[in-house]
Amino acid sequence: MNDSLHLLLLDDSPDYRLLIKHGLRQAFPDLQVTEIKDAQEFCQVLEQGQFDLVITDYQLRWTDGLKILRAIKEYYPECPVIMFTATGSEEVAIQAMKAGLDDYVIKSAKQLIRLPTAVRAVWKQVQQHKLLGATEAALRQAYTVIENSPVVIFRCRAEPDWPVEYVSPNIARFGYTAEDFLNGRLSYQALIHPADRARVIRESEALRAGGHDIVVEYRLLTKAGNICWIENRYLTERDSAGRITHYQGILLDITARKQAEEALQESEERYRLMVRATNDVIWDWDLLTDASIRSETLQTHFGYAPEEVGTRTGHTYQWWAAHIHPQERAAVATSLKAALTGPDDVWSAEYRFRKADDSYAMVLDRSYIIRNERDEPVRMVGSMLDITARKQAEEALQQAHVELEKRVQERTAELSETNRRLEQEIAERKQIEQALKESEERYRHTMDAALVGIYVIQDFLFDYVNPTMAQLFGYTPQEMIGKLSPMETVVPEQREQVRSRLIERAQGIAGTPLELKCLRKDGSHFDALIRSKATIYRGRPAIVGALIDITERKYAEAALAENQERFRQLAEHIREVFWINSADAQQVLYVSPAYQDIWGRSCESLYERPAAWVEAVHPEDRPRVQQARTRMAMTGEFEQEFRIVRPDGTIRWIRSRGFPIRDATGTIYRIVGIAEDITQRKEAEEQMRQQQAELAHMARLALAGEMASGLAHELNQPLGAIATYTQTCLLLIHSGQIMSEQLMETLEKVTAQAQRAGDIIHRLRDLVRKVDPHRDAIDINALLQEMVRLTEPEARQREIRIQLELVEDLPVVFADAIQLQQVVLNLMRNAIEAMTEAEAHLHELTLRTSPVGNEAIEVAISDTGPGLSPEAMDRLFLPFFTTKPTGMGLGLSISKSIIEAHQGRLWAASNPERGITFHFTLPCDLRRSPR
Amino acid sequence: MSGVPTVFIVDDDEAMRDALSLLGKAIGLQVEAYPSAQAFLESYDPPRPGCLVLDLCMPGMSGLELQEYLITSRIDLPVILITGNTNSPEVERAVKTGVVDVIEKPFNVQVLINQIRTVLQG
Repeated sequence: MNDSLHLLLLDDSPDYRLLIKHGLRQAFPDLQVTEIKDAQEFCQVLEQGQFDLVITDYQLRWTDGLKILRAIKEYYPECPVIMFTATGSEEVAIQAMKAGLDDYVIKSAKQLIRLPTAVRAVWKQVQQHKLLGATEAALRQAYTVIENSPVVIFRCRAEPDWPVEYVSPNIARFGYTAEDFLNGRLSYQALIHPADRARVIRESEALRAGGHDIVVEYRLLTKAGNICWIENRYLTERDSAGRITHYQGILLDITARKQAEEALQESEERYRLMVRATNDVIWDWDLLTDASIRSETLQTHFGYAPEEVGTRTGHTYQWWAAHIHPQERAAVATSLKAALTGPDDVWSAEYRFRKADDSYAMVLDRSYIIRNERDEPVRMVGSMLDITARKQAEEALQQAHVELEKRVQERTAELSETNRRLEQEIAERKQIEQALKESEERYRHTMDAALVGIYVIQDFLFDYVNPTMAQLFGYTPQEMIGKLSPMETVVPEQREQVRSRLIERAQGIAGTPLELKCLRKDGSHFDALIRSKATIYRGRPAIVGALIDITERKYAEAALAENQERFRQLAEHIREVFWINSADAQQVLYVSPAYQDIWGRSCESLYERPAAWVEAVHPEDRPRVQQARTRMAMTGEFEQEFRIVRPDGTIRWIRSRGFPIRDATGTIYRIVGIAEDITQRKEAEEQMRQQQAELAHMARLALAGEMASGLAHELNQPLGAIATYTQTCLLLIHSGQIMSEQLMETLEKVTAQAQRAGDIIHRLRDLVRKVDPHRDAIDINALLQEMVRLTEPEARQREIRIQLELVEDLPVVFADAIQLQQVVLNLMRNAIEAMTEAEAHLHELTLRTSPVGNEAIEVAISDTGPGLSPEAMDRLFLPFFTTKPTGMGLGLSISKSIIEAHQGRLWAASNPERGITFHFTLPCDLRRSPR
Repeated sequence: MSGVPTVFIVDDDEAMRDALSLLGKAIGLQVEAYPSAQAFLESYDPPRPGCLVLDLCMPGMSGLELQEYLITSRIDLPVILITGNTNSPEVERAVKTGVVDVIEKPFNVQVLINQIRTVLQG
């Protein structure tokens, strides 16, 4: 290498130019340097040629290193270019390497020392090329063959890291130069993907124990950081003692095959599952009934009519299993069972399936398992794909590679011949690839029609998007592919996240689904969920992913969150206790904070011990409540009023109601309810009940008194008659005027009257002393309103409207409240009953008050009933007179006597139109009136 | 006949009416008996002399109401009330309106005879 070296140096910094020249002159004394400072100079030099090597900075005032590189390589592909820069990034380095950069040295004082080595390495390569070029055409021919063949040959020493002694120059296909290895900068092992390295070493260790060669498949890292799949045959060289001294490696790049396999697998899978391709046998198996439906293709592929299979209940599995090749039957059944009992939703198997003509087809059976909400498998939907042809193609390919290898081993003899054959093999493989392409085409149609966005990213740009994806973002696919970076399609604050994720993917790190806020062309946003994975696309690493618009889901989530918040606010602020129980009523899932106020116990204590709920129930009510809870566990229904005992011993009345909540299948899975504190209502009810009891008691007392008075009157009639008769007889006897006949007649009358008195006495019962009225100042309006409140429910039930026409600011009356209530109630009841008996009519009960001068107040109670005859009106107030079949005929006479005892009057009058009005008056101030 | 004083008996109770009529005749008086105030008013032509023996408690127009009617109609016919219960508020009112006497049933006929004689002679 003593030829003079002509260097083209592009660097804006005079200092660095000086340093570089100085450093290189030491290694290359004959170095000529042309310094380029602007575009014009560069163009001149480019036309003249006359240089052997280029060193360029990346950042130049007038252009950048990549453009320089591309220009040089366009004119002089053989001319090595070294980039010496501090400003370029890793991405720049990768792009430059792809564009043919020969070396990349980071610009720093330290790295300056490396520069001569790098120059020497690339220069040496140029020299070698030159050597080959002119004089050794034949050898070059041979190299060309090797370089163009997919086979790379290595010879390494059997020492740690496997230092390389020889590597065929076509290692360049992986971006390396032989020099990289020969100067010891790279060991062979460094090429092996870290994930595969241990395995490859372990497998090659096996050669120590004996054996001649092994074949290992692994991933190789190209210099640009890409991944290639390699099939490597290792051969050993041994010394006389049998120790291994060297390994020989024959590397075959099988990336295309691997990719083809992967792509085929993927395309078939997607094709299968996304579109019910007519080529597959689609089946739908109901696991609960063991019945199934199969597509018509069953006939065309396997020769069975779909209806002869398993449409009958309980027939599918048996039929299917019977047709699997006996050698595989057990394994396939086991894998199916494992999938059904395991967590996966997908099952697939490859097996031989007996056709109607008794031949076997290789079948790829893939399916989705559909589970119910309890995660039990209920149905499987899948497809059987006849992959016999594909298997044969794969085998053929495999065979081709085996064949290929054999020939490589014979390389020394017939390189040209090998090459010819290799080309043939490649042509054959291309055919297979063409078939794959077609399969891919189908897959692409499927992807285009998919409802999810599907994309491929390469070099931080979209390399493929399906129409759905473009539509989601408001672009056309053309606007996205090759032009848009994924970072540009998300909101600014998520860009860094997306970038680092892409880098992770590129490094083969798997990720979880990610939610993103995406940016449309028009600047609007939408929420999306993405899943992506690293893959190889067109021979280079890429990221393939799917994107779903989850805006709706987000809305739903937000609405749900809002609902939950609203529920929480409601539950926590209502005075009633809101509770949720498990379906078996054994567990309290939720109880609102009002529980603490009403029960006087903490909510937490209830969660910890649900039994505390029942224990709080009053012992007298507990058996009944327990029974109701047992029923609730079956029906979900609960409605009880009961008492609880609070920790301080006080008692509260509770009304609790529960309702069942059912799932889609109608099964109860929760019971929810409301418990309210009805203590006040209960107390009011109790008070009212007591008041009524008191009224009734008073009524009974007054009734008894009235009965006595009524009976006394009745009794007086015959007694008065008897007394008169007998005394008249005595009178006549004394005066001697009487005749025995008249005497007898009168005595008979006396007997009849005595008989009558006896009858009356028979009716005499329960004489009770009549009580003197107890007097208080009474607001008559308030009293009437209270009585209306009491009778209103009964009136409403009978469709009677009660009207109050009260004159305000009436003077108080002094009266016995209970007796007055009794009178008013009696008059109102009579009115209601009279109207109830009458024909359907708009019935009104009107209560009026009015002053009568200054002395009295008049109360009028009117009904719109049928009224009474004048005769009945006359007898209305007589004891034992009644128009009611069950009446005693005492109510009005009692009322009359009560009002009269208060110095008032009670009377009745027929209304002009219909019904009767009862009037009574009460003096205003009885304290001053003499009794 | 208008000059002869008559004892008008008004009582809704038939036995009482009959006994009182018998008593009146036994002591030699002219007697007319009516089952109600209305019946009496229909047949009575004022100013026939006599006296009214009136039951206080009757359906329709009560004895008290008849008494009040006679006063307002300026018919001067002395009234002797017969009642089962002299404690009733109506008796108080009757006394105030000026009845001759109130006799409680059952009564000593001599008391009634004396009252009737006093009234008719007076």
